[in-house]
Amino acid sequence: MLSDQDFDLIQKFLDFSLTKEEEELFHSKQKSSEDFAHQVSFQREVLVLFVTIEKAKQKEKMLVDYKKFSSVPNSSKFIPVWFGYAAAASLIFALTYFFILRFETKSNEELFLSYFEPYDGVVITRGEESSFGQGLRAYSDQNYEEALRAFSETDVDSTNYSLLNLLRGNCYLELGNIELGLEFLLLIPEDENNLLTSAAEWYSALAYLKKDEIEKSKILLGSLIDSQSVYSTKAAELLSESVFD
Amino acid sequence: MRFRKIVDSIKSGDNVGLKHIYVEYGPYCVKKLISSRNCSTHDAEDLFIDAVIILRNNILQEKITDLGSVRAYLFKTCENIFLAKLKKEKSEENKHSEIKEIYYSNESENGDISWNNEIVNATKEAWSQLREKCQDILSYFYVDNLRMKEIAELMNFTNSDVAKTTKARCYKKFMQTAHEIYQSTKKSYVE
Repeated sequence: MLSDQDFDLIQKFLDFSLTKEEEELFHSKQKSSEDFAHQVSFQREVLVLFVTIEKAKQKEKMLVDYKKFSSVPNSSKFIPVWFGYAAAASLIFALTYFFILRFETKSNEELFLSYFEPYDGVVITRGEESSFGQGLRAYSDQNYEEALRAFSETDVDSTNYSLLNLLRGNCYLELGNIELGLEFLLLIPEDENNLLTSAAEWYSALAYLKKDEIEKSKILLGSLIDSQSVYSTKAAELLSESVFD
Repeated sequence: MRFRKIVDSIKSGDNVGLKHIYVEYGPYCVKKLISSRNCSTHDAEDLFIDAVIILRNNILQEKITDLGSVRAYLFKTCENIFLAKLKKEKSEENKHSEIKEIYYSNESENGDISWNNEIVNATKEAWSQLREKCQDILSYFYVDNLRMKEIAELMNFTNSDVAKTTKARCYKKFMQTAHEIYQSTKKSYVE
């Protein structure tokens, strides 16, 4: 049985943290005690094994997660002879899938419509004559095309950058251009001090939902729930919908 | 999701940041590796996960605090790993080096690693008997190579000395249990 001191010595040796004196003591013990020498090689083997097993387990788990959350088409460098048959089968499959997808899209669309309300935290200052002010007024009047026109003429600076992109994103979502809407929303920097970050995440989650990119939407909703912002409850509610199962 | 959020997520131990990396950058890196390096999908995914592990460890070890482009970093890392593996494959003498490199490249006594089943079983069994807290601290130290200060922060210890003492205690428990199991298995073979 090893003493506590011997245990510490071996552990420090394996952690590369022996002092000069401890190093001398270690080597002398290794020469004089068979039991000590056996423990050194045993513990070293266990440690190497444990690290190898754990690293392999860690990688395996990450690979499983990766496959769960992403979909990458298989590489195909050669066209096999049975390609024609496969193509015919794929066509039948694609048609079936198309009909299934239509239902799925509809359901995502319904969810989008029931959760999407344009951002309403807009304050218009009386007498505001700038193009930004005009855009805000048009936005409040639900005249999204006019709002976009005015916003496009607005000089962007650090004070209006986030709000401008959030509103442009919302305008495009309202007008049904999800891609462009998302592009503007993703421009908003993530900063916990930026009150608009949560809003941007919420609307991006909805945009991804409408685009049928469920996993991306799911991640954003999860992040919103953690952030405990004003959108947390709505995010949790949306996340409980069956489309996210 | 901005890089700061990925860092915070990885440091807090949740999966949100990693999931974001998988969804946002995985398909791009894998596809690009398939086309530019002629990899199979399986190999490309393997390389991508290796790159994610490196990124994760660099974040945990605070070697990286900011990145201009996560996508570019991951792809570059994939390429570096790919080239390193290619180089390694060409050199026949490195047959077993991967395992040795993990820990003691110069310490191996006979130049080869021949683990017997008793030690493998004893290690696995002793590990499963450890408390979760002990598993975490030993993993952070030996698998993720984190320093005591970082471990203390991650595991909410008051300071790095407390983490160090806890780790020493867990290490001892792990080794003692593994040795006991190993000895009893050997005895049962003799009987």
